[in-house]
Amino acid sequence: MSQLSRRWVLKGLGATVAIPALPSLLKASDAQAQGMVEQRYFVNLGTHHGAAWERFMVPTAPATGVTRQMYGGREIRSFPLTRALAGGNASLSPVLTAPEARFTETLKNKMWVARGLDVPWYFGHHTGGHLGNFARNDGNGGDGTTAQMNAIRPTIDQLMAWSPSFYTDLTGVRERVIVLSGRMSYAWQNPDTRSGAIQEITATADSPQNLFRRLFPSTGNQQRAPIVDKVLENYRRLRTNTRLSRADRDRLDDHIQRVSELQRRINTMATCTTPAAPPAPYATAGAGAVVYNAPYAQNPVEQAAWYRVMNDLIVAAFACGMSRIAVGLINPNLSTYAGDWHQDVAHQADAVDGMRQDVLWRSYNAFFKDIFLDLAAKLDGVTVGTGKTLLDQSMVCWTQECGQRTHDYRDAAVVGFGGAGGRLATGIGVDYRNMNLRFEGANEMNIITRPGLLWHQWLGTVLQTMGVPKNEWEKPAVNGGYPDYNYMNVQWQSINAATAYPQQVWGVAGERLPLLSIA
Amino acid sequence: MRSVVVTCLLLGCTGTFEGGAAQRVTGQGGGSSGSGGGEVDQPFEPTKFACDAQQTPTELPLRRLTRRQYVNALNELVARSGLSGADLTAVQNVARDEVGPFPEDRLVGVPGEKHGGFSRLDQALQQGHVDTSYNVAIAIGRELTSSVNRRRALVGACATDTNTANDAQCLRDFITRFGRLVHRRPVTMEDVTFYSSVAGTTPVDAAVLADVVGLMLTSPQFLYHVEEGDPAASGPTALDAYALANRLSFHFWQSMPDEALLAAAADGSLLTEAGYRTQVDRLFADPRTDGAIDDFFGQWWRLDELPPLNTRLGTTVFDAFVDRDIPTATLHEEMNAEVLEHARDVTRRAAPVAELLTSRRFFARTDALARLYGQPRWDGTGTPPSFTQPERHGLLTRAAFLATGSANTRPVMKGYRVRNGLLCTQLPPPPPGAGATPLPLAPDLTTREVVERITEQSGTTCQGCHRGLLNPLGFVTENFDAMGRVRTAQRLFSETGAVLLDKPVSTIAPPNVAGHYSDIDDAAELQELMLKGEFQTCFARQYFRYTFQRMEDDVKDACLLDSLQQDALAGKPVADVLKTVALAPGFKRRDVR
Repeated sequence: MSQLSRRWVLKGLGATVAIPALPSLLKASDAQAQGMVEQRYFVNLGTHHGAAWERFMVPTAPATGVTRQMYGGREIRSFPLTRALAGGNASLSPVLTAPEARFTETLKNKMWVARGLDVPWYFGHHTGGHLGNFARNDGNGGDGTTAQMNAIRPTIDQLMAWSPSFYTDLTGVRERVIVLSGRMSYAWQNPDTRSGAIQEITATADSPQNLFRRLFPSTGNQQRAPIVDKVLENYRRLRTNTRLSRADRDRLDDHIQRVSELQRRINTMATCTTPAAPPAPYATAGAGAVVYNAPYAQNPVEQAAWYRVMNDLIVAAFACGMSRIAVGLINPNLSTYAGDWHQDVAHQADAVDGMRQDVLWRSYNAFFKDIFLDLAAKLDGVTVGTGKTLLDQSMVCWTQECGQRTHDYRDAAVVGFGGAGGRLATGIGVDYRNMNLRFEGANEMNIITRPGLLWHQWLGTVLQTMGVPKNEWEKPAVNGGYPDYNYMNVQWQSINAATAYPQQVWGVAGERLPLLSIA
Repeated sequence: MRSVVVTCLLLGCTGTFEGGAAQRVTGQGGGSSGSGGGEVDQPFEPTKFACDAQQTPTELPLRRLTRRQYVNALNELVARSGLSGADLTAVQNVARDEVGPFPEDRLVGVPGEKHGGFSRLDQALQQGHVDTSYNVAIAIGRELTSSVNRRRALVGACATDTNTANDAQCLRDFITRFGRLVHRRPVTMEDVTFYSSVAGTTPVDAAVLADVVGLMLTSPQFLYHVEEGDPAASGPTALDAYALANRLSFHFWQSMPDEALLAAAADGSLLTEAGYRTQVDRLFADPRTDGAIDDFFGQWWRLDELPPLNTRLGTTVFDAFVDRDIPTATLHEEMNAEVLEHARDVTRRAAPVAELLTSRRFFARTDALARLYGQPRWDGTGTPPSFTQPERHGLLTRAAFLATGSANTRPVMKGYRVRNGLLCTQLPPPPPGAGATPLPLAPDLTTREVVERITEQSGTTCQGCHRGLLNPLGFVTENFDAMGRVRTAQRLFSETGAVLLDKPVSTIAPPNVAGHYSDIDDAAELQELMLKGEFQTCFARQYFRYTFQRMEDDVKDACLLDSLQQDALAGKPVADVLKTVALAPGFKRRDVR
């Protein structure tokens, strides 16, 4: 029996930040139980910078119990994740550590960690790489500039959102994608017809209140039918004006498409009773108040509280069938550090004294234990039928701006929860690096980088796992996986691109990543 | 040992900077760094734009209102709705609350550059634009019509009297009257019929009127700049009077036309040369243009990049550095406000473009900011005083151009703002790994010395740009600290905040501006070189972008660029140059082919 468990409403939250009326959603979600077990859900939260060393970031493979497989010209490996328990904490690595009571064996068994995923060119200062728009970078280096000019693509969340294969039925769907931040999600100007320029999708949910309003809009006193049909008619009326240019009419078409989407959302039937809105501004469990779009920088307690309300709303949206995708960048990093984070911490992550690295990885740990784990637990608190939970049906990903070196998207790690409806193996760590190659000698901090498989393959794996067929996004004549941008340039490193990423690697880029994926 | 990260910012500049330095051992700070490059000063001519009247620029299609324009127009419309007092306030409050989620416009600049740009150039259409404008329209429609008094004020007595026979005409009259404001031009009979079509049998019922208002506020004529033309014409079409009125109004006021401007459109005087000139002068003189002046100069000069200056309070070195000048959370805003007041002052008193750089008038309104300048604050009355510190030569020495929020100045970023922002020089991107490798540095080095060691090493990819184009333009203001205070020496601290030593600073550097490669030693000399033409040319480019909401094309837009540049070079008042755009033929026509 499907239900929105009251447990997740209370777990990990100050009572003042939970949605007060969530119990009213329970019956509504029951009604959807049969359909939801077939649905899949995607969440991608990204953090800035990355550059946490492997000793802090990723679990270490045990001496025994490692599964090995030859793939893409190298041996790849998986191993079971094992919690180390100490001092009330459960830990897979320093970053992946949380109180044992929250980081339970159950959740660990629904978790996975993949490493050895690479962008094969110089790629720093970006926010677009997480989801496949390599053009959204700051243009550092010739590679960054080249990507700016040539690699602008829609991101995978938007491909899903507008795919008839993902949303086979839009009934009840109010937000195709919940976008928590800007500069991560990109779509065609007209995503329905896949036409026009590719542009940034700014945050559609930049505060709990705004997200709540989009999910549960006030219907007011509905004496009359909504005017949205007439709004559409008004735009179509102008479109017939022969004294406008063709380009003007294209712009009107873009607007009309969005009004059509608005019309669809207005006319779709809500399947949940509207709960009470989060108070504005809500008080945290401690003193003080949080203002939305908040001055919570350097206040990780309030920042985490803010995101946990967002987690509530994301779970509510998923549970009520109002959305199935949520993406966003966590901004800023969760830390009390008061200086110039970018220059003083991220850029100094490799400083030999390790002090900045310490600040860095602890911020990621704060994100993991206070936000990411919270979301996973809440999704796991909602059953959707046949003993499955929303988390079981989901693919919840944490991606980072870099691998373990700053400005370097090699050996990136993805931390995830959920089996995507049985399509992902869980409770495992996966390592795709080629251990026979190394880009450079260990530096003074003993950081070694080895070539992995391609980020393109990761993004393609996500799309396939979410049920979006390759014919909707892959261009195999260019390269497998996503996006179709096969630029390579690692000349700034000690081995060349062709050695690090030979045809064997590009040749499998269109496949779902093995070991993690279940056929 | 201390580690300081200085990003090697740029890659790919070429030039010869080895060899004998043209050193000049003058000025304060103990002599030259020797970074002069042996280049010989060259005669300089600013960029020439070759005007070809046959060229037709590529124009933007159907521009949407920017967020600022939308909010301003909405507020103006509500203010002119006929409501007053508490009723008006209530509607204004609803408008303010509902408009919140309307997407902010991004700064859009030169492709490939990560700094600079204008929010006006953001023409992306988001779902949030449509959704929010719909919600706003519905909410304002309801609020405007929610009581008998409000309906009477909005629509007229005919909407609330007992006579139902006049209701249909009452609605049509309202649509005609209110629609003229919403569409910013008279509505057509077809428009009236369309908007009336939602009425049914109760045309002045509150819900009906709310829907009519909502429908009008979601119309393309309200949310976009709808400008018609003749697609079959052989060239651009002259804008009609109302389209021209709207262009003028949204350009200078960032809002809808007032009644006088609509009247000038209605009686045709706006299409006469004298009548148009009258309106341009009137709009420009109106205080509402100050918002656009602030917008333009604030974004051109990248004032938004100045961070809050108090975030490092509580750290030992920063606390020791600021000493008694403890920055508040708003000090950076006060610094920016001072710069904007300077820009308005130069513009409003008809001073030449050069004074944007060289004016020494002082506008600090708070004690905290004035103390950094070493003189009492200005109370805002009378003629502003001049800087009392002789080192303050103008724009480059105003606090907002100097402060960083840390204990260290940022010569590279200062240089980048001058070179890229104020001189419009496009620079190649940083090399891979720039800034990623911290270098251990001795604690007795000044910031300038640190920058030189990291970015000017022979044989690196960094030195071409840094030594030749960037660093010198930041070094010339190293006689100011990271709070914008005058100094002759940099106070160096240990990690515990103890004073290690006061080390003299050097401002001597070869600018490579206007063909000048020999060393200069202060901001006055740099500003003088900038005014040999590069600054004025950049001004022309930036104002073009701001006005037309797109990047300039040096060939197709050459006529207007040339006109702006020549006016600026000729020493015309800033106000006249700004008005030049509106008076240019290209402002008054549109190509819909």
